[in-house]
Amino acid sequence: MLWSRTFAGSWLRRRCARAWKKLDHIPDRERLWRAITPENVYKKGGGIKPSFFRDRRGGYSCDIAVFSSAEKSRRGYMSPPAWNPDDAGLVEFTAGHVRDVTCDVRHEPLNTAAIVNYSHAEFTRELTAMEEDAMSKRARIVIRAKGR
Amino acid sequence: MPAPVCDRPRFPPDAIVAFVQEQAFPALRLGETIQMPTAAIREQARPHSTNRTPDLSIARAKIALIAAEAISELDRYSRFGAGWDGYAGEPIAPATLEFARTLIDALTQAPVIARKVTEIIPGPAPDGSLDVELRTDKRRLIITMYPAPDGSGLELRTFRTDGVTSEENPNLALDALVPDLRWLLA
Repeated sequence: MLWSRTFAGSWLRRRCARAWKKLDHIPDRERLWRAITPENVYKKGGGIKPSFFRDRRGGYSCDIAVFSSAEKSRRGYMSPPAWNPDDAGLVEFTAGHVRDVTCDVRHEPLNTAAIVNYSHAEFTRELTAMEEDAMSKRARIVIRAKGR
Repeated sequence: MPAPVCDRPRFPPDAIVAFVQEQAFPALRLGETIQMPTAAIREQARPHSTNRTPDLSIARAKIALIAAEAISELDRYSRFGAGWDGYAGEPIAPATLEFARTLIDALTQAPVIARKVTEIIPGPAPDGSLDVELRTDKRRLIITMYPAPDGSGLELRTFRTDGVTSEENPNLALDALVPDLRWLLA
């Protein structure tokens, strides 16, 4: 019910966000968003570079689309922004795509001095080079980064 | 507005031709032939080429352009601050950038690279690591450079694919790049 695109689902999601409730599971079909800089987009063809999906520190960040808005995710939740959000684009993939490459994604709401983001989720581990490449092919750019 | 007036007398074209011939060959009158002295006649000079490998020169110019673009992109990465990706992105380590520049410079000196590599694409990662992707018509080799945790050097990883098969080599030493480069250019 929580993930359904009905009035009841929407009401439940608002309640969860208000209570800052950490969700146990993100269904496969749920869309995830992450802002992309022009440097992470191939000039030729406009594809996503595999390095976009790398974070050796673990906890690769993204936003659960249903709890965010495209513009909010594109510009980032950091206040003040440490980059130029006007140049940013937005990449979309699903929780199922992450699981296809044998990784997983979990809901991890952030509430710090600089970032308040209930929609925040993160990968459970670092991806291998092969998985990064696979993810870069599965994900799609929904808002183009400036200049690419 | 009055039409421009030509104050010179008009000559018919055949009069002009006759005048030029007269100037060039004073002994020649209209309808006669001229015998050129044999010493004045020589075989057509053989075409002399100073560039015996024009394809290679073009390839070198092309790879120099590709490398310059890649280096200028690396220069942009050197200006990244913390949070450059809109999240918790780390600045790209200077040692990593320096190594990438050196690698690109070295690669572009090799004629075989100049002939075969069609693209050199750097890519920054949120963890401060850096990719240099080399592409030929059919193959891709991604060399990933991580700054060592103690700051003493670099860690390397490669990923190669020809669209059908893919292979990943983690934790490489610098000289271990050679087999991957051979594979790329094979």
